Amino acid sequence: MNGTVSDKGTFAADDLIWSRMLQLPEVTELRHRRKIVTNTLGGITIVLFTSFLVAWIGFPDQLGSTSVLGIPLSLWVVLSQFAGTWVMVWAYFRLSRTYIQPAADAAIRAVADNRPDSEEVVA
Amino acid sequence: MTGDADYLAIAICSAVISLTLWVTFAASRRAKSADGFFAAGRSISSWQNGFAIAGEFISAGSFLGTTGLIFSKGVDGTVILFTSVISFLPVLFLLAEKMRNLGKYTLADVLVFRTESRNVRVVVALSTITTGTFVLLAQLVAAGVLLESVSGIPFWLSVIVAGSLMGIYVFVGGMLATTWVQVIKSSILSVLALIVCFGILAQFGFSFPKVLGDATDNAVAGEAILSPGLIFGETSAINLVSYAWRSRSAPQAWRTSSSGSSPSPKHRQHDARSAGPLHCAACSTSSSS
Repeated sequence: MNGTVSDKGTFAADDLIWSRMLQLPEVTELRHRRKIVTNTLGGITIVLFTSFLVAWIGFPDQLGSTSVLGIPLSLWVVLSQFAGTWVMVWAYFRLSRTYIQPAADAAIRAVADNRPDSEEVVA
Repeated sequence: MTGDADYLAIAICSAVISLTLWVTFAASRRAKSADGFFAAGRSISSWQNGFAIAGEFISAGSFLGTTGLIFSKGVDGTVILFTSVISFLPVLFLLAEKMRNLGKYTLADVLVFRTESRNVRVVVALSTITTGTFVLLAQLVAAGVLLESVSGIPFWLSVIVAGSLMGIYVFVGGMLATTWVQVIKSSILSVLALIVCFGILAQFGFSFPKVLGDATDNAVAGEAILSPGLIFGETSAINLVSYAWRSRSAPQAWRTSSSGSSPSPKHRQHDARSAGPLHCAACSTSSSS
């Protein structure tokens, strides 16, 4: 990994290899899938947490005085945060296995197949 | 001795310490390499890791302290619980998997690998030591107070005993021992929590609303404990937002990323240093098994 250091703090030769990898359609597809999963689940997490903040800051009296099944809304809001987190983790692992992993396998194969001899790694 | 010793508590405490020390020294015989010490040889299953992470979340603070805080200050006390849990999500989505796939053990390793700068390692090490110092202060004080009250030995000696045990767990057993110690801890606390929960509910005919009614009757703040505001309402909403956004789950993330099950066999064939960014990109795109 010799060569000049670029503005990004990486080596120019490394940037070249990386940019060549990004041109592989399998890698592009993998990055696309990762982006969808991360943005979707991250967005839902932000909505989940923002709903708590809005409820807590904006409606404290209603949360304490209103009950559902004999339990105050404030506790339901708390429970929703725990349950929501559990659902997010479950969704992430499921998507990781079923949606990302096939693309990851394909990307690894593509990178290995397109690796020049000079870049062979030590087994 | 500074107080009356509770011999039953001492016996239970000694049994737990003996068990965890036995696990520690048994694990130390299996850690023959850096991978074995820092990442438990990548042999920890997802169930074991889950219990270990739970063990870090279910501390004495959350088991006893937060319960008291909720009784005293109401539902605002629950914020400390679920913000810790939610903070796990961005770490899971953005960091944990990539950390594991890079094959590095610590955040410093990853940053140095990506930036190739020794100064980064120094800065991260200083940051870790600073953060760890404040975390350890709280942990050691709590452990010292607990040991002092249980065994009756002086506080300073309790702190030394607790600190020595911590050091032995980590330095002798590595990640495998600390994981198993956390598994044991979370199992014990989970069983105890279920027993306490069952006992309390049984007292009130298994009616949670009745539990709440009795709690509000006996709480200093009365029914106000069911409404937000007893902690954050006295200050400002900004305090709630800033408090809620703080993250406690970094150590758990590193545990998740470093000690989890192995990457694919293909991944292990690579030598990260020699492969450079090609390896880095290929492996960072492989997903968790």
